[in-house]
Amino acid sequence: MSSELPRTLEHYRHAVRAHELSAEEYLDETRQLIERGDPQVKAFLHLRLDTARSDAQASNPSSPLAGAPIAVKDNIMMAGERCTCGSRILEHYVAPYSATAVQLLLAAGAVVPGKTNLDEFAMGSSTENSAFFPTHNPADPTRVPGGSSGGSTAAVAAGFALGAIGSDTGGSVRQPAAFCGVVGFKPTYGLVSRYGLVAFGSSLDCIGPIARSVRDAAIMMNVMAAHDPKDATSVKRPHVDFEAALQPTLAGKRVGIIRELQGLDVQPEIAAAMEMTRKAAVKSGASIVDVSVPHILSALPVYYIIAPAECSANLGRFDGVRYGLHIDGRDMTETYSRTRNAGFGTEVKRRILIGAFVLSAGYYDAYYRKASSVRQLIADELDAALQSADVLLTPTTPTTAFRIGAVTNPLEMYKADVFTIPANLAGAPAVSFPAGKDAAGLPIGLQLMGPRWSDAELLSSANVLFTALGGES
Amino acid sequence: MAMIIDKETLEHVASLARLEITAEEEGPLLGDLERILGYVAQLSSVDTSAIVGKRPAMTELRPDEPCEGLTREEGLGGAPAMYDGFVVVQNVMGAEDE
Repeated sequence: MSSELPRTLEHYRHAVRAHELSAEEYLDETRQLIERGDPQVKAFLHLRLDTARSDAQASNPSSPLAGAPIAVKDNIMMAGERCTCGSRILEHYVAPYSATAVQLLLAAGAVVPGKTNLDEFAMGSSTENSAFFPTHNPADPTRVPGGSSGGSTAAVAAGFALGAIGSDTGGSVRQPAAFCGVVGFKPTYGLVSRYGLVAFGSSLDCIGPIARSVRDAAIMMNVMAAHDPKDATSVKRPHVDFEAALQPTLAGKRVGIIRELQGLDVQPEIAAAMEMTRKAAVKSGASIVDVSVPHILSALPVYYIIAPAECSANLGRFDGVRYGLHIDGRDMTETYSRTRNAGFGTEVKRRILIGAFVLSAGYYDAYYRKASSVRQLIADELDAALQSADVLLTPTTPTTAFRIGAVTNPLEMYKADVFTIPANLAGAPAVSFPAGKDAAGLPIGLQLMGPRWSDAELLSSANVLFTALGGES
Repeated sequence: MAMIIDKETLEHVASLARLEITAEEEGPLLGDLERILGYVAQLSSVDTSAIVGKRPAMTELRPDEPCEGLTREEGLGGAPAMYDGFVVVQNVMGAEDE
């Protein structure tokens, strides 16, 4: 991006309001970046740049987002646009309505340049499970952008959009944000409406913003956080101004370090970034406290029972009758199984089968019921830990971005989510922010987790650390 | 060590999930599922005696009030086959008699 163009949503908005820049000029610059860069990055599944330009022209400079380009993950519906979920089974499906989050962004003046690539139905940690093509990490095109919202994070990192939205079921906003060097925020479950998000794990799924700064994520949250009667899990809360809540210091804050995660094998540069951030927290006025979450390492096995169980139920709706692909069989049953077999990729089939297994008679108690109990145990332990700390600091990922094709064992891939999953199990907010680079120049992300409904305070703490480490305030 | 999932169980689960498993897919899938289920089975050693019986809070439901929504055409527009405003399905009765 040329140096005079604003790098962040905040600066963009300022420039547009001061009439130094127009939304359509900015979109034209963005278009050039996309046309030059996306053939290599492959962040988008579909582009709608002509429509976006007319929308930018018509946008109101004094609206909250002032015509800023915001990319949308292709499992979130936008009326009249395809919504493939990265799957053959929905390859030609056109959304009949817009997700509430998309409606709110559009009403606030955002324009959508395109729908972004993802692991099929958001199941994956590398965007390699897209049925169409893998996305490449803008920091190093031989590496994955992370996943499943890898298209959205790559688009923001490459300058193809000022922000993006993704979905986070086990870390799908935060993990790719860490790999791409951008900010990714998973709000408290119930804070942002999931209406119009294609369901994967309904008790875990959240829509969250992806941005170049923590402040930009707060600006997006001001638009997206709203009670929605169309989502039964959406919660009515008093209005919060996320941007105004950003404080300059961590004075009086207790930053918790989780004891049980200390033994985990983490790339040395990520461990060094943790140390540096700990020091930055102290310098910003925080105290460091040691906390215990005794069963936190059980979060990963819990997730890989609960998420497949919910996915096997949610994906039951793709039957070749009501939406998308249809492959004829001799009877209904054969039509279902032929359609599903042709339409779903390997990882989706694996998870549906695991889900059907753990929910089936004879296995339900040992797997699903047990996992639900351990989930409750972990959520209670996190609540207790967050009595003695205001936020918990962890790495977002054990490693930086790996090479495309390097991780082929599904269980190894699942382990990329070890730090991000606990927040989903507990419904708690968590944010990944950039914290330097490794020896190969790849971005490192660290995570802050907080109590449910502490979203504004959590973003404030992340903003202090992010700026202390050299990020834009 | 006893297998958690064998060929018959996989076929049973696949039929429940309405998925056809091809002969080429079966071997690798069995291996993956065995490893994943073996990994998650570690939860059996976690003591959850204090948790069992605890029920999640019920979702608060709003009153069911009619309001503007999708038209029938919009709602059904994604279906592969339509006839006279209805979704077309195959005969669901008596599939056995050709």
